[in-house]
Amino acid sequence: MCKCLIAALLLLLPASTQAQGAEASADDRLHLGLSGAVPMGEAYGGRWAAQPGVAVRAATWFHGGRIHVAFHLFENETLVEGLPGFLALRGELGWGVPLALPAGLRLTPSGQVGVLTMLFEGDEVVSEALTNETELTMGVAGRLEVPLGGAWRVFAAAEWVHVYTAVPIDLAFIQAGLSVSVSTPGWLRGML
Amino acid sequence: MLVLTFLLGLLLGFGPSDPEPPPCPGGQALNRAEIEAAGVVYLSDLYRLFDGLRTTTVDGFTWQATHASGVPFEGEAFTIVVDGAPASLSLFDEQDLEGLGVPIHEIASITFCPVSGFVAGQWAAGGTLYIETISSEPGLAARGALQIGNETGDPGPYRYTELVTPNVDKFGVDGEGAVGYRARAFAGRVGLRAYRFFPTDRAQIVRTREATSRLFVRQQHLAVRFDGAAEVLGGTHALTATGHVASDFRFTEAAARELPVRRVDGQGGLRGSWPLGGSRRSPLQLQYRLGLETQTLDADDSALPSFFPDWRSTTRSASLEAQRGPPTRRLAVGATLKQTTVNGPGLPDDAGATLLTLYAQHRHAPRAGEVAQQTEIGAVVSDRHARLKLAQRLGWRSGVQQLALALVLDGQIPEEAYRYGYWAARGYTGLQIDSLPYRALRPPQPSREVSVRLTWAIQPGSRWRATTSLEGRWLRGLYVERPAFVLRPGAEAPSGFVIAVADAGGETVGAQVALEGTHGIWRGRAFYSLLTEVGGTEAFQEVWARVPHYRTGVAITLRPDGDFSLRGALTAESSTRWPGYGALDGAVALNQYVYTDGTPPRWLLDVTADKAFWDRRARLSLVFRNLLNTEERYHPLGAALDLRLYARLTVNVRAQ
Repeated sequence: MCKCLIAALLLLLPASTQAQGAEASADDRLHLGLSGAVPMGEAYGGRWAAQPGVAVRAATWFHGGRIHVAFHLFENETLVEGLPGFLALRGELGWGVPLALPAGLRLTPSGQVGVLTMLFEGDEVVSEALTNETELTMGVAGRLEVPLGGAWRVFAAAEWVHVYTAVPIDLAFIQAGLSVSVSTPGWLRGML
Repeated sequence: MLVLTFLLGLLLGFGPSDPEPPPCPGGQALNRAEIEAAGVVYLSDLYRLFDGLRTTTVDGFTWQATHASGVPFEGEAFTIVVDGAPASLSLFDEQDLEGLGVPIHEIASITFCPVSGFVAGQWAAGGTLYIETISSEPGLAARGALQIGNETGDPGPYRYTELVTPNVDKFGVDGEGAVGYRARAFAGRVGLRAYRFFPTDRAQIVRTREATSRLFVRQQHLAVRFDGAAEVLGGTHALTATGHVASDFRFTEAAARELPVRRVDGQGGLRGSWPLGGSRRSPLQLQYRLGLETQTLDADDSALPSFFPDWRSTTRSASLEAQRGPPTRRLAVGATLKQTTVNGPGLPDDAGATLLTLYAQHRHAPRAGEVAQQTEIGAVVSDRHARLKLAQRLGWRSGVQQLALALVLDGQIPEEAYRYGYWAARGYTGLQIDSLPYRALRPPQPSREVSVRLTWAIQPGSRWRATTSLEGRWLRGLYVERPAFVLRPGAEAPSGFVIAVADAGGETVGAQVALEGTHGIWRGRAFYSLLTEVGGTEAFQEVWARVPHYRTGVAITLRPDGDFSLRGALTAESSTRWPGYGALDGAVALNQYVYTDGTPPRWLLDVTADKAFWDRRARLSLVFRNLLNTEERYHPLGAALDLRLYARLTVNVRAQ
């Protein structure tokens, strides 16, 4: 699974050189997004069920593509008596190549790395020393943006995330939301 | 592992002569940009960047390196020199680079030269690893780094189910920093470095947890280093002082387990040079070195019965060298006196020896098209043994080609690099545990070694370069430990015995091919390295079976500008077998971990993204080790290193 992910990321590199010329001059902006995320399929072998959540995202141009930072918060309800539920907070750093499509549409395939922090609930099961777990994640996503007018766009995205726990977890989400592009602050442009 | 390093460097603009590594046929050099792009987070990560080195580790933090010389993974594989000063890191067959105390962001270059020779007044058997640090910048400057790492494999939510697995400890938060100041006639640098490490892998945890009385199984290190230089009385003089304190779980093969120890090392050195006249074209100067080293090793919160290393060692050295001529045409003669005294359980009071080294060097480096040569001859004498040393290097450069030949008559007397067996033979019992007898059939004897190395390099332009090396070694009189370990039911660690032989010998061959090139923003390097024995005694073949015979790899670096790099390195190494661990194959530890008698072939993909921000005041590195999450093990009793992610942030602040 991870090898396919790595191959996908490598394929993005040459595409970035094509996208760079078209996008760089027009995309010196900061793209902020807010979305709802709905889980797809089963991820925990029938023990928990991921719930719809909310995600926020910020992206800007970076070396032939877009780099983004995102946070995604979602609950996980227990399906088995005696197991604690947990709140999951996923943070990710990703990079993708925006591809211009007709009618102003934009498709951005991307890869990301991040961490998944799991905050457990349930006093009867969880002791003070076992309140959280954090593990590395990697994933790929595809994002389709449709212009609304001005700086606003509506988008839909599908993403798959692999969590490197000892018993691996594979999460899939569909996201839909709004994004707005603003001028990149001077301090951020200077930082990058 | 907590490592605190204070670094004070003074006057790097004018120090004693020969601060840079000499010409090195068959060597490999790395500059600062390459080190940064490779995502070095520990000093021992530098080993994996050298084609011809092989490495082993039990815990994933302390690494041993080897190449064609000597006994693999035992003792000093090479001499380490930092800014012209030798660093003494060896203790009981372990040479831990992490004890060096040099912050990673201070390293300007590192060169591995695999040919033996006289360096800094002593014979560098097996070659030399030269580390050069960056010069202090004018004005006030500060650099610091924070890093954190995570190894995958935590249980996650499954910790509450029947699929529960042990937690995997993270690395860090670690940090390091340096503050420097340089004016016209003065320069200073102070550095700080901190690391933590937890030897809690499934392969180790039963052994480490039972060995300590602490609640948490963790390692801590503290290293202090001062460097200073000044022009006094018409000469240039430099002072180096290093201190290292470690609370460690030191894997010791003689005990077949980790031993909880507290190690305190101190090293001080004063070196300098005086011009004595001579002509302008053939100056005459005198160089001197004075050194003092101390080592102590004690049990640290040990739960092991009857474990009292109580090791105390002091080494004093003095060296004089007279040099005539410029660096390109120089004759040097010198002598070094080194006295070591040791105290420990079972040893007579003030055990040790005195070593005298006499040598002469002649270097002639003419213009391109002519043959350059470097000849070194000397002798090392103790009160019990003596050994002649000879190293002859020839080099020829014409146009785009270089050819180099090195012939070395080598071999060490036991007093040159004290092995554990040397002290065990004299009665030292400090590292022995009851369940594992150590028996040396004979104490270490003087060894003999003859090596030949031929290197050819071609570089038609600035875009690509190819290098090929062939090497053969003939070794006799080696001291080799032959373990025979078993795991008894209910035991926390292997038992058995170790028998050491002093007359192992054989022949090794090595070959390396490397091709590197650049094209625009891309840079690539591919290499192949062969290192194997081709015959010898049974003990010799057994110990060389531990070394991966084949190592190959390709690294591609994308550097669109000076602020960002993306590097991927795919490396493959062949499997190994450790004959003394044969009875452990399939043995099940108390935590159900299953041991093997060797290591599998390794296919490792490391990826590093390195980005400078804020006008290069800050740098963020994301380092993925073993991105394919293949089985990465280096020792039959060692940890399996799963996919790891390190995040390292370096900040550079300057004020004029």
